Amino acid sequence: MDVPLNFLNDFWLVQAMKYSLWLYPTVESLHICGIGMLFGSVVLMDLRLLGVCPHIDFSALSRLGLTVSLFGFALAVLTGSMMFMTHAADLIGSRLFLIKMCLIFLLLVNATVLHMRSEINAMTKVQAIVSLVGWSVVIGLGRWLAYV
Amino acid sequence: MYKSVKYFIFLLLCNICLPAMAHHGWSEYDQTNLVKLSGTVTQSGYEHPHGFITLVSGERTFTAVLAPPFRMENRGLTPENIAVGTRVVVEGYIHRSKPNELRAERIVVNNKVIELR
Repeated sequence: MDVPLNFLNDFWLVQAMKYSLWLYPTVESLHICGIGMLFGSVVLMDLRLLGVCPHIDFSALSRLGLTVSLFGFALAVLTGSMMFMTHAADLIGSRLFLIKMCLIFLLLVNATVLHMRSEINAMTKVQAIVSLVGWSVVIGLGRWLAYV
Repeated sequence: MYKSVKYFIFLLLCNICLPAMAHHGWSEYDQTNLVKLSGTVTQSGYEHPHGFITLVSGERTFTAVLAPPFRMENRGLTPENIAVGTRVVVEGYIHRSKPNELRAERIVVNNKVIELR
């Protein structure tokens, strides 16, 4: 796919990402911090929904979990965008990248619906499993992107 | 409880397997055939995540993917070494689906051999 994204190359941030010795690895590390916060708190909330540690109050857990996961998500989006800009022309034509973005969108919808539900039932458990599997696959796809 | 632990282990496996299925950053290149190219650098980038040069070798123009800037620096390959106009020899492997792209195993500049892997 030939998309004229080369104009991004002249953007100062892209120049800094490419030519500053420290910026790119720093951004990569922060991307992982973001993923850690997001996935870590998602796993805790989903496991609780699946019936692990029922004595923990779910609404208290989800208040903390939601805050941490949203912060982690924001950090991952910010750093992810910086990496995307550096490879925009390659990534926009990559099926793997598009699958990753669509999956993230679906998982956000899933999480929103999940947090609007007022009780834990069979459906919330299914959604918790979708969330666990989905976010794991997102991480896998992201890692895979570096290898193709 | 038991069920969710089972799912959790499955998820961990997903994480381990996906990158493993993708092999390694070099798997897209045909490593059964080491190709040696010599030519003049027409374009170069000492940049993240990997440096690159384009070089004209005979009638053809190749893009050689080098190493991350930190590694190039540590191994003694300076930006001046790959400046436009420099004569270089690169040894590496051709991309399976892009015949004009090569991943460089090593580069020879000014009689200095620099390993890039």
